[in-house]
Amino acid sequence: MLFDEKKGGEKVFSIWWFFIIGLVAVVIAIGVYVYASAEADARAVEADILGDKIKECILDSGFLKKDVLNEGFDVFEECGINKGLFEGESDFYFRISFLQENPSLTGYSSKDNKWLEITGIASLKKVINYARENSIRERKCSCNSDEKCNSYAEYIFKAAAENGIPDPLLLLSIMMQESGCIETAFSGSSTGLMQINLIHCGNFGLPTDREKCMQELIENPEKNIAIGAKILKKSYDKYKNGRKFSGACTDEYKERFYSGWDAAVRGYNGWGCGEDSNGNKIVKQDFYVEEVMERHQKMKEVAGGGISESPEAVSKIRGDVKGGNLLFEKECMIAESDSIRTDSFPKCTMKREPVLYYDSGSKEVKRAIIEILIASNNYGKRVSVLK
Amino acid sequence: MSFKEFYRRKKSEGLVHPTVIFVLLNLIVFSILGGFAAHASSGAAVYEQAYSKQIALMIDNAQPGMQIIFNFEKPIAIAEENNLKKERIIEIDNEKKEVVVRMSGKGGYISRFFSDYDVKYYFSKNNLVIFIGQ
Repeated sequence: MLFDEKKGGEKVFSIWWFFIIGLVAVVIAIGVYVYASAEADARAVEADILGDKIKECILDSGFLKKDVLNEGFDVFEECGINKGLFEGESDFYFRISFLQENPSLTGYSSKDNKWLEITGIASLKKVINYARENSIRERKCSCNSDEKCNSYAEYIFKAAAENGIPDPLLLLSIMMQESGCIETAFSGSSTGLMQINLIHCGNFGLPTDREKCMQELIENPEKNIAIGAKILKKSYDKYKNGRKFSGACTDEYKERFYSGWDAAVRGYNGWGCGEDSNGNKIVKQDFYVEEVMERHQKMKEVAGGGISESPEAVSKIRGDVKGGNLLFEKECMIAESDSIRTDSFPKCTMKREPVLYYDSGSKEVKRAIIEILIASNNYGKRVSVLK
Repeated sequence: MSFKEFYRRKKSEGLVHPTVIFVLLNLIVFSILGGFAAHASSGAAVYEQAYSKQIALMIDNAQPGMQIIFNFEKPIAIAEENNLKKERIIEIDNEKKEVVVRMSGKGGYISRFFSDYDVKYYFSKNNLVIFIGQ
């Protein structure tokens, strides 16, 4: 028999064989049990979704919604979040902070995690005044009075803020490229400070009548700049993901690929090759983006730009809005500082976003940062009996 | 030694060579263990968790008015293996904000979503259609 000793004297099936088989079976069973009962951890994804949801519902095209700054603002109702899940020892937590940037700082770079230096109205005025006397990348700003120059700075700042253009200096650079800050500049098809093409008459609140339209674009510099900002932003939205400049006048530029604000500026000037009244190609249009962007860089230097390392230099516009398990706030801080990532700690995410808001006190559009801390410890559970 | 000779020789000893049987039995035992491991790791428990979490996350990520169509072939197949009707696989509790997914009669997995939506759902062939209401 199999259990008998063989001719050679050894057994085929011994107690050890059963023992080894049993051991392997137990190891496999434990392995399967551990695998099947392990929690798939979706807490980080969930925290991210909650953060995005809050961000989307308190912002409208980069602007803080008006009601958000009221003390009576109910984030649960506004954002469609179930309040019941955020009460007591909840699995969730969020804190929204509304930070007013330091007046000497202009924006927050989420990429570099640093504050960027100013391009406020004061800096715009500084750059314009400098450009009245000095060329910046071959262009001057020929506004002929302090009053006019200062009003341009204000119009540019407002137009940039209202259209979500991150740096008003870019708008000024385009304005200097287009008209050299001369209100009455006219090229045959384009008019005023931002050289708005007359094909836009009838749009942007402009009269359809060509003569009246032209007159308004010259006599209303604020409107001219505002329309220029709108066109630039539309161009950004359309081309930000990138486009090849295949319609360029020169072969070298036909291979160029623009994206982001470079593409927006390219779109502002057009993606083709213009011709003058004699039918000659206007080759210098090919360099438009490079000229505007180089001037923009130089303007930043004039404004005293650079990168500051002082992200704490902020005050709060209003009190924090919080919800959920308050213990998580501390745990998120511990987890971040000590790199603790145990399952007992919630998964925490921090989102920062530069925003604009309307300050009803000063009646100005201002810049701010919203900071959203989100934590989730929502695991789900297996239940053995269900109804 | 030819196979015939080998077989005759073993036959003469009263049994097929014990080593051959030993190897075959080992193969059978390990196949059964492997099959068990494969079956258990791709069984209802794992899928219940994965599907309930995915559905909860999708509801949270959705906007009111959206319709989500979810391929439910696999859960339906597993549930049928376990004699569970398709309609009993999923239950969404709008009061408790819970998604319950079960693919066997022995329980299920509950995941919670935080969005305060009125979620409706129905099956369309092998797809689960989830409608996100206000």
